[in-house]
Amino acid sequence: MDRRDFIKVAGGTVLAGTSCTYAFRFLTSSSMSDAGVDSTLAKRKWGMVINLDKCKEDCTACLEACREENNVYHDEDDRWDINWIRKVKIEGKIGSATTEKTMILLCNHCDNPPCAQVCPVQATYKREDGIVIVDHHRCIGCRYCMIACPYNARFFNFKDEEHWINPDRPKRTHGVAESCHLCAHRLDAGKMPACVEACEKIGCGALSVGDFNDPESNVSKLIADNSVKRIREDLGTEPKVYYIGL
Amino acid sequence: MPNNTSDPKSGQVIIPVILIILILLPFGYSLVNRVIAQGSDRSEAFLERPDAKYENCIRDTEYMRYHHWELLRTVRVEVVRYGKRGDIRLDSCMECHPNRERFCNRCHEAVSLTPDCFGCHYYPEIFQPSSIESVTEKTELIPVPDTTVVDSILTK
Ligand code: SF4
Ligand code: SF4
Repeated sequence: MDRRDFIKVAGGTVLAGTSCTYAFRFLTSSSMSDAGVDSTLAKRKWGMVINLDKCKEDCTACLEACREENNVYHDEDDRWDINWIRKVKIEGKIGSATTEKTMILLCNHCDNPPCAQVCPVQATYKREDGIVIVDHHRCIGCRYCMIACPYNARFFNFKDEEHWINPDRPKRTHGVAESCHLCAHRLDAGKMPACVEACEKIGCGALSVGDFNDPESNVSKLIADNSVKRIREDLGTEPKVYYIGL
Repeated sequence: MPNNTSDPKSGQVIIPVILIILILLPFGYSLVNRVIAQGSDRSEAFLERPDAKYENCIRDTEYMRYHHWELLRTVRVEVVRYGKRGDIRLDSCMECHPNRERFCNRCHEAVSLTPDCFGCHYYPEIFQPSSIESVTEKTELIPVPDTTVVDSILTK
């Protein structure tokens, strides 16, 4: 073998070796992420349907229920205030006629969540059942997700909450981002989110949460029977909060 | 001027010496601290033993003493990432160990650890300082494990 051939063979071996290593790593990592934990979450896909026609204009039952359930920080000053779920007024103009509507906004639990894509430490992620959630143990407070979210659903804890309204649930300290997690702890326990329960209690029933994978579930039926809209569908985020009467 | 300042030779010696002292300072500090800690009477540090009715911890004492954080971390990942909400919760620890000052903090302070679990998780005693006395009366106290043992286990 002359020198030239030797170099060719050696180079080829090194190249093959490196590519094999990468291929192997890729294969193992992808198979591990699927089979790592035997999770029962994947069967479901949680989402919400909001019937704006049933929502009363100055009712705040769901907003208060959310605050009380999840110890969400409240401040008189809007700059520090955190609202996992909030109400806004939107104005529509068609020709000379203006229409006003109250609207409920919360995290849309996007199927393709930009907030999870930008998170540098994978603190924000989509659970297998479609809930987008923040692991506050991991969040470094960089606030990328707040910029990435097109719905302004993310909030930052600028201050420590002092009042511990619901001792069964953790609160957050200064320096982490947060948003609605669809009361994942309640859904895991087979209960409905606090806002849904509160809305039902006062007899409105404007909010419903259910499993999109099940065609017989309350939300699937509502979507099938009504004309529904999602906000900013053009962005490709595939939100899982549907609005009736928008 | 005879005693003119910068003799180039002395500058060459002094600067490295200062640098070496600066570098060694933290090591010396911890060395001295350790010697003082070993010399002092450690019987002051103790953990609180829970009530007799709580005989059964989720794991044995030896395991909990050195590996409770691994257990808690595993449970945390399972709950937060995979929604597996089992029986092991920080709240259930608090049922038997209601006093953070006399339980968690004793060891953590001895080994200079400041886990921030309770910035976000509820520990009832913070809001009921009166419960501290009542707890100490009826419970027995056990000595904190020697920090050198903890060190050797953590570095294994
Ligand atoms: S609405 Fe915002 S916070 Fe919620 S999943 Fe979508 S991008 Fe993330
Ligand atoms: S603020 Fe926290 S959750 Fe948001 S992107 Fe940064 S690390 Fe992730």
